[in-house]
Amino acid sequence: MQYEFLKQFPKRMKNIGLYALLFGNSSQKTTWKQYGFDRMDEQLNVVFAVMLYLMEQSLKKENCLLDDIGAYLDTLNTSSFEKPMSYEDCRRLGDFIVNVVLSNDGRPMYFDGYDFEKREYLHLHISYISNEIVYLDTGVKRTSYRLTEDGYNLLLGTLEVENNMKLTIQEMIFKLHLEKQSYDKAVDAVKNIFQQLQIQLQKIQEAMGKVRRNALNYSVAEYQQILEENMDIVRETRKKFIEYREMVKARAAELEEKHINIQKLDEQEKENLNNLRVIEDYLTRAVDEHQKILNHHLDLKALYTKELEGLSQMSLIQRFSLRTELFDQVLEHPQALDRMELFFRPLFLQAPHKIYNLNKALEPQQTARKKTEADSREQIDVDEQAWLQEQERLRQEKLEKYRGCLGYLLGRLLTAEKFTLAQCRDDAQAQPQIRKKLIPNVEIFKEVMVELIRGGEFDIPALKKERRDFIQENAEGFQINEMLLQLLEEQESLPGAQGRQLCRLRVCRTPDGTAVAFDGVFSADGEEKTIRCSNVLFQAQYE
Amino acid sequence: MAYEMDEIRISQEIFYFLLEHHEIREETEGRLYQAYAENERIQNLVKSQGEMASSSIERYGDVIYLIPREENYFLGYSKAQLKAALCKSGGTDRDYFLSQFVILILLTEFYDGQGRSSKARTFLRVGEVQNSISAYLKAGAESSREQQEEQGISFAAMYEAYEALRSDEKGSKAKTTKEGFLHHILKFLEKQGLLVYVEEDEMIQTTKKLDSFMDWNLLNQNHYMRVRRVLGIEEEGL
Repeated sequence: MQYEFLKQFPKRMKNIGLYALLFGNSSQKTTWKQYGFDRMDEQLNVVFAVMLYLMEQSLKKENCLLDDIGAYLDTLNTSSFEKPMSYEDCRRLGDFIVNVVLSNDGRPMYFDGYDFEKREYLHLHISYISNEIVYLDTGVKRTSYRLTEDGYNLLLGTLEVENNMKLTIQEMIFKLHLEKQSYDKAVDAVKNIFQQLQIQLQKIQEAMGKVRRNALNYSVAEYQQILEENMDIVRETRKKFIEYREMVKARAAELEEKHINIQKLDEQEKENLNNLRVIEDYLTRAVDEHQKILNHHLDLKALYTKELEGLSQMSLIQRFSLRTELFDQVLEHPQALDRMELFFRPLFLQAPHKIYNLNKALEPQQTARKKTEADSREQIDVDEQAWLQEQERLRQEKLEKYRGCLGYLLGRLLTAEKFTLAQCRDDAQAQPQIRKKLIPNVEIFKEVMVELIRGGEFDIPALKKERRDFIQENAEGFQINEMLLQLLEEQESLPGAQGRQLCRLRVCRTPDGTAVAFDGVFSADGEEKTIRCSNVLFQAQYE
Repeated sequence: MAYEMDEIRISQEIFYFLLEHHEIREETEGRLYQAYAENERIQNLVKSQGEMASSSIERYGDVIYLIPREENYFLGYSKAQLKAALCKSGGTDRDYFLSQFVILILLTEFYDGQGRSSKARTFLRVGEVQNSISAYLKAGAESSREQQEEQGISFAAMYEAYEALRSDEKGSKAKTTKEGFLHHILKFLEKQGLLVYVEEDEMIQTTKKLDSFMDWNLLNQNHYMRVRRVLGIEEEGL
């Protein structure tokens, strides 16, 4: 080559491209104007502020959702930019910056750099951020963004020094700090070194992801570069870190010794001691991180080899263009849609039909709870808040009916001490308001009776004690014990209440085994029915 | 060729697992995956079992997939079943064709690349898909205006049907809105493990499974006859 200095020209162009594409993506957009960012400087300031936030979150390995970016922009806006933007606007601006400016709407970005050795343009792929699907604690699925290697390069280039110099300079600074005993600065320095290691680790993980997705997208040059970087970092820093650790440990021990001997340290020294502990902690973690890099390094090697082997057979596949060969044809001949499922067939699989095992019929049966389909809730087209309120209202209404039924029985018991269901029936037939109270609908009456008969005997003081001693969640539906106590307390607090306390309530079938029938009662959905129930004797016992 | 009983047993286990889960991943089912990947005899046994079940078994990357053949309506979806799954009850043929067209648009937007992989986009936003549907339906309606009457399927009718759906800013899931219609299709594709659909962020991404299927199966030149059959060029020939 004629000019030596043109060697590695594409590498330079890649760095230029990082800026050029970003400016290009941002400058021609009118969206900025909506939010009052008119000048290019303003726009770029915001973009880089967002990117720095992404870097911060990526380094911490924390999720970075659009909501977070929106909140961050909102804070920045109120404190600094002072544009007339609401939180929603900030969120939309964040969406625009992340998905349009930085991701180019999901289309890959290329910058052509001329390679003077090969005398051709190289397509240099550029991506600033990548996104991944994350599941939050609540189980909600969201998109989280993080910086890619290009993104790190761009951002670190704005302040930090050139890639391969970084570690050594950081190390020098660190050493100087230690020697000058300004420990708080040393803490910052060691944090920085630790971050460098994390970036390298993320780089490897990203590379592994890439290889897994499609090894052909991962070039040998990239592989070589990352391997060399790994080896350099591991080789150079491990030994130093261990030395640092020893040194820091020794100093900390020195200070501690002093602490024991003199029993008194001034504030400055105490802080130094703390800082030293932090440094030691970071250094330990850095050594761990080293170990991880080494492991990942080996994993990547194995993975790349394996994937390439697998792909060597696959790489012979020729592909046709979906758009020209099929899509454009369909646009002209829509009748092809009738057979389109042929093309899609390999994509969709359905579960085979179920086979009924007759033996299942002989197993002890359990009530199958109706499972609400996860999807069905989403199809209801209503405001969620209003829906919840409505549900709560309906629940209260239903509980009120239970209360009416049980309240009537209890009220009667407090006056009569002993009565049968047959007597109730006679009264109910004579007086419609009693009947309405006793049997609001078939289901509720049935449930109350079943619960009472099943309970048999209710020991009121014991129930009260139980309620006092155990913290219970507020039950959704009807709870006989709970309601019984509530009703009793209400009755007792009435002005005309008798002084005696109900201590035992007994419910049992009458010995003669007769049945009581209620005619013409309505079920919850309005059907007229007849209820037949065995005659029941109610008995109260007082203290 | 004589097979060991162990090999037969594990191949049967692999096939049954595929029948149940449709795929075997190296990360989660390392034992079965390795048995398949490392032993050619087992591979042959499983493949032959797949052939009997009118499907093919393929390993793309670190996952083994069960793929139904074109004529397989037991594991694959027949047209009627697909219609039932994609369009809710009472859907007309027009709805079904529209849904097929929407899936085709999604695939075309994602896999328009001619590089080492056909994948051209990393993600799509729901709004963008909606706009492309409108645009393509309109384009289709214009380009095939002359012949649509006689064929029974017309883009014009599909376009009208699509535009008649309401557009709902609030992201309603009712079938009468564009969002709801698309939502249902996306959910189906997600259940089939082909897309990742993040409702909150209106984000659609493809899975590795769909990437592999498109690159190695659907767009494979060897399977071009599928396209010819769809286009009706070679109906009798096969």
